[in-house]
Amino acid sequence: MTTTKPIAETTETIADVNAEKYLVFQIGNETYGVPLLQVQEIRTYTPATRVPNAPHYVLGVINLRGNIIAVIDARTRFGLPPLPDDESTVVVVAQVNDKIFGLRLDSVSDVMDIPLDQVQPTPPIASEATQRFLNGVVQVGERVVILLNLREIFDIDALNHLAA
Amino acid sequence: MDSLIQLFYDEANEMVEGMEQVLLALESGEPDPETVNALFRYAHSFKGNSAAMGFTHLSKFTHGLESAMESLRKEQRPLTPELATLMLQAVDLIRALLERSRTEGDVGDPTSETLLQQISAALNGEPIQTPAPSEPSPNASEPNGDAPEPSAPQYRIFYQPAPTLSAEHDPLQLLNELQEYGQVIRCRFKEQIPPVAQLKPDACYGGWELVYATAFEPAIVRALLELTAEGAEVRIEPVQQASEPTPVAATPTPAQTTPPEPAPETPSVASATAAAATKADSQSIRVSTEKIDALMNLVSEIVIAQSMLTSAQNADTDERTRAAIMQMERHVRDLHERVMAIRLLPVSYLFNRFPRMVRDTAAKLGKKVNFEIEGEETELDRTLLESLSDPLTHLIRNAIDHGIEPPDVRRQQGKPETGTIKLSAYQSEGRIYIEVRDDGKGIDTERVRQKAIQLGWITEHDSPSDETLYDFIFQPGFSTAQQVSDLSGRGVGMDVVKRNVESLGGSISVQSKRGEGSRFLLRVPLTLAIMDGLGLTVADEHYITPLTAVVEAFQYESLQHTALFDQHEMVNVRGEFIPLVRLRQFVGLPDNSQDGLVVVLEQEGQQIALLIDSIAGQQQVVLKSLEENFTRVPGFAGATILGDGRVALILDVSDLIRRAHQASERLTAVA
Repeated sequence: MTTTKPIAETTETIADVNAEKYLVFQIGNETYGVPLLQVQEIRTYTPATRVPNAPHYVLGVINLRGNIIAVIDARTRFGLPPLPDDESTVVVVAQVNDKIFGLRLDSVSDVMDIPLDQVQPTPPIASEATQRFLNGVVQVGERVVILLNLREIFDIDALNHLAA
Repeated sequence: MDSLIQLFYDEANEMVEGMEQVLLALESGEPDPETVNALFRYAHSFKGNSAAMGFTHLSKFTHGLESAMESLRKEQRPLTPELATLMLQAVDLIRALLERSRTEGDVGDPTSETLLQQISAALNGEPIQTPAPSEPSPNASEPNGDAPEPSAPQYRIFYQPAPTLSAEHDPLQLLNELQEYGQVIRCRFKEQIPPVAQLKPDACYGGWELVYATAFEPAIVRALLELTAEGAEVRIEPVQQASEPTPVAATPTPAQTTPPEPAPETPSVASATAAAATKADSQSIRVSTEKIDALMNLVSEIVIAQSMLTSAQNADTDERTRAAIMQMERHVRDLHERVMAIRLLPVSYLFNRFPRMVRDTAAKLGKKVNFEIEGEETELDRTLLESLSDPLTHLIRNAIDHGIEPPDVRRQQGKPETGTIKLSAYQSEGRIYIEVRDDGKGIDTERVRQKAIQLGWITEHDSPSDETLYDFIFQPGFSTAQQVSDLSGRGVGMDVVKRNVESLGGSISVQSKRGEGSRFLLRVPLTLAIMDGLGLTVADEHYITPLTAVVEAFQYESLQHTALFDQHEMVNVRGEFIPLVRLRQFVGLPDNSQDGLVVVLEQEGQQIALLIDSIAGQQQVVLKSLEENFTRVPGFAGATILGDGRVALILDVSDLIRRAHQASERLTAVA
């Protein structure tokens, strides 16, 4: 990512000023986070209706209180093999721009304060294709949290392009 | 028809309230052009609606009011307190007339003219007095010293001097003389000016209407009047004092004057105004669509919860719980249907108000118009319907005014004398289309270009495409009409049309051909529309097709089939070969079925045979947009939510047919 945030050299007490709440979850062995402000709700996963000819990471569409929203499988999107549904499978409903979509996750673990001034650019270990889904990494205590870019993950422009 | 009238009143009351609020806002704040525009738009729409309903008096009065507002808008005049008062009085008068129209039909009010004159006088900065300040009118508020006590009988006097009125008969002198015999409580100038063609420059067309209190006999008053002015027309009628409001100061407030035809049993406008407040409790209430949406979504959730509850029953469930669940199910279904029905109405609800308007407008303009309506059974979300009323009124009116040529011109051009305007509605590809088509003269692109140059939008050297020129029509301030009529041509219409349609998330486009006519196409999204659907199953997936497209169904084995070049399948249905579309294939599922059902679908005269596994039954479905939060899905018009809360996609039959026929054309072309 191009947004290189300066690494703060200040004391830890001030770090809170720039902290923002993030919803964090595990995918595979890593911990990822999305801004809590973008998250509308978390629901248990109900099977989606498959949409013919949609990209493989689009699981389908579900009914969210009368609105039809798409559900994207996070693992498939990141090129990982999908996991079968279980008790902890959830859909995180998020809003990007003016569209709402669901992101299917194996589980959610926590809400965390992420000190934004300590976010570092993603090391170029991820593939070119997945690099754009990432907003940076941050060390919080023992954990390394990878921040996700929901807009790129949903990527409505690409979906519209496919439909055209 | 009742619902139509009710809709008119609901809207009218809304607009009247809107005007009032805007006026109050204007009075208390800085004149902001947007607010003035809002005022103008209310008046404009109200005028159109009342004309459509045949309330000519209302529409005429509002037209006058609109003209007055025009100078507020154009010249950015300040809204003085006097002007605001007058405007508000006008709004009161509209309200009173509206109320009276419920029982009396198309009624006018004599005070309307005066009020308009006062408004235009106030706009021109003249002090507000009696309507025509230059006319000899005695100051009614100052009775003479020898005026009779207020209890003296009152008379309404109409005094129309002979047309040959000359200098020796001075009406002012006459009126002053009257003051000596009694008290002129009110004095209003009345004019009956004929059209210019018949106007005699030296004739007198003015007259006066007085309310006069005197202790003398009417005969004496009459004698006095006739003596002073030979050949004058004089009428004297007693005024019922009980119903007469107490004399007021110089400015006669129109709401307080009684009609000149004093039938005591007829309620005066003033009392009608008072009554309006109490009588106006209508049979319907207006609820914001958000509230209905919220209700609708809540009901959908209940339906889903209900189906979960139903499926949670098992062998151990006791009888009482079963009975309760069953009863609950019935009520929920009822509730669901009723809430859905709140929002849906056939477009005929809207379309039916136009034939009358077309007839009247055409008659007024001396044009012959045959008005056709098509697709009026298309059901539409109520909000959409209501919001489409104004744009369509404008479009249809424009078609008559600017589109259709006068009969003689049409004859010269070898067209039938009677022009045709066609209003149609249909649903396709997940959208509702409404079309206004006329066979008139089309859009004169050259005139549009000239006007655009005049407005400084383009320069002399630009030669924009026809599409760009058509776009200009929808810009605020653009109007090619040569003169302002009460029909169109104020440059407010088309930009309002565009704005209204776009606020619905829709779009408007125009096609036109010189000499052949124009076609305005409104596309509005299908936020919520209901239809009868047929459930189709392939593998474990469920799809819906609109029931209207279904012609018949056959067992696949029972039909003779063939394939062009081994890939393009056709089935023989009663001797006719129809392209076969395998739904499994279409939705990307493995397909090797040699059995199943064939459903023949038809749209716009073309057919396809759709091979499916089985039919899941017929049901009413609410169309939901896939684009709102996702994207368009080729081949599908939208989605719906099934009773169990799952989503099912709705086939876009016209798209399926188009694809199939394109494919077969390609193949036959190769052959």
